[in-house]
Amino acid sequence: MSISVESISFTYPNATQALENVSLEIKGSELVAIMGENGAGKTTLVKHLNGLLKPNKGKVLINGMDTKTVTVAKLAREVGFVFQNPDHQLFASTVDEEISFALKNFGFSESEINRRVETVINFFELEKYRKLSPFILSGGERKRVALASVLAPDPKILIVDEPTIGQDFRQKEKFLKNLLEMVDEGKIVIVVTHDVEFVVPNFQRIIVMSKGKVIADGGIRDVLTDFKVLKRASLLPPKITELSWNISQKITSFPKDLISVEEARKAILNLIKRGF
Amino acid sequence: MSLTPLSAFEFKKKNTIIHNLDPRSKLFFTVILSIIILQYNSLIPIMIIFISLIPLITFAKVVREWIASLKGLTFLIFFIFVIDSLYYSSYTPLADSSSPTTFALAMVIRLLALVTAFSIFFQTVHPDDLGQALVKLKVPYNFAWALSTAYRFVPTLAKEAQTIMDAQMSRGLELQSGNLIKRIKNFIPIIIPLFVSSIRRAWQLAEAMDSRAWGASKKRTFYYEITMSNGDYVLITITIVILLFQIYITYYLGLPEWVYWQLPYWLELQYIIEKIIQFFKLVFNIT
Repeated sequence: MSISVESISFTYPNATQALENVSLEIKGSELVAIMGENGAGKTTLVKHLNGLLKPNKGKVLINGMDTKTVTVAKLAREVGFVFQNPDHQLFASTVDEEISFALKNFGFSESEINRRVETVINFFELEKYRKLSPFILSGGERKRVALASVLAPDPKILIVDEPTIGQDFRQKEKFLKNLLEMVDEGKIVIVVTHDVEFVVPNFQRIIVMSKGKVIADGGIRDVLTDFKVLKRASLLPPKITELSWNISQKITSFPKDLISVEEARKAILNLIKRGF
Repeated sequence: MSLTPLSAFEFKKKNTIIHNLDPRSKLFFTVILSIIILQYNSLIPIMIIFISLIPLITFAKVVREWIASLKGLTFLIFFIFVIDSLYYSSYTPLADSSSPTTFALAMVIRLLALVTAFSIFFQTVHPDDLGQALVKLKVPYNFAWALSTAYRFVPTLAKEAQTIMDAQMSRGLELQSGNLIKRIKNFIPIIIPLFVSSIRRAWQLAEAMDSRAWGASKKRTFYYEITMSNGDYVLITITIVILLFQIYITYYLGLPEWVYWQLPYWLELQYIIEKIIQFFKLVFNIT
């Protein structure tokens, strides 16, 4: 599995430059978050990864295939893409049919389609909606149906645009667990999000964008504790980081770059044991 | 697959003579122009009208959008041209020439002229002003509002259609493959979400309007009033003069012979196709 973005630039027909000399390399299996302010170019960038947009300059290679030379439908077999608004993709008369749409497009056999639909239906707890129209479901449920339909063909690379909007904590946790499982299976998962607390502490890598450029790319601890970068991209640091930074202003021995509750618990217990 | 041709009917704020005119005078001009165009079926008069519209495009500074819209019409133009020149006969309604290709060409240019006239109108009139203009023309406010809203949502809808196409292509939908029936079927996953989200949006819009007391007062006033300026009266006068002049020449004086000029026979599509077939028969020795 590999994604290689080689210094691409992209300008929309209405002359707004959305990407400026962006380079990326994602190899093996990784859980990557792309963050940044509104209009930073996050969606534009990920749309390049499945060929929906082709760069004006530079090139994008997905498992060695140049996106300029293959169709979106062909790339779709490798790259699953979940759009922000589920209403932009739901069309079938039942949830079952909706989920089997991509499977049919990719030419899976009848029995394989049934098996895969069964699996994702169970995973996303959609059993009782199977024979219902996706349009009568609530916003959060529609989002899950959309997710399930993209996950059913088991893409090797998954891109999800803003998955956590309108989802309760339980669904978020389940979804995160699913993403982690996919990474364990050797896949690349890319999540575009504003939700810092969703990213911490499970993501391995964060790419921060601002005004069409990548301004930071690294491990979550390095990026999310760099207040300068966060400010440029209009992001809030995780609450735990804010806390640890605040404590470290008073007590210099206290680490100021904590990101998880677990780390903070250890550090605070340590502090209490040692005394101030 | 892209929907850029629709941008030819999308308002963009610019400061030109044409943008600053009142929507009513522009509407009058566009309607009269269409009436004039539709009276002719021969190439030369339609050509004259079409060419005289081109300066207006440059005045309104919409040349780029205009070219994009013509590009978007390529398929339709080709279709009209081929069908009209191959299936034309003296029984064709409106037929007034013995040359099918001339007639086909005239029909194509008539379409282009109409598209140009309306694209200039829609690109230079703000949706709100259109609504107000209709109200001032004594159209009931409900209808005027519905019309201007429909027009205001064209670009939104185009954008949404593009997103939906992207989403479905990402799920492996091949838009440009298969036979005709397959291709039409391929559009189901695009049309349905477009309908559903439009209906959803309509409900939301209705709720938002209700919560802002839409229709609370019978007589609606406007914050910005559109007003007729001298330029508008000039445009209306010119339009009326052109119309009278056209009626006088066409129905009173009678059009001169050269107006009915037709393409030479060796440029007829039917003739060219016949020659090509003859050529192939010769080459491959088919009798």
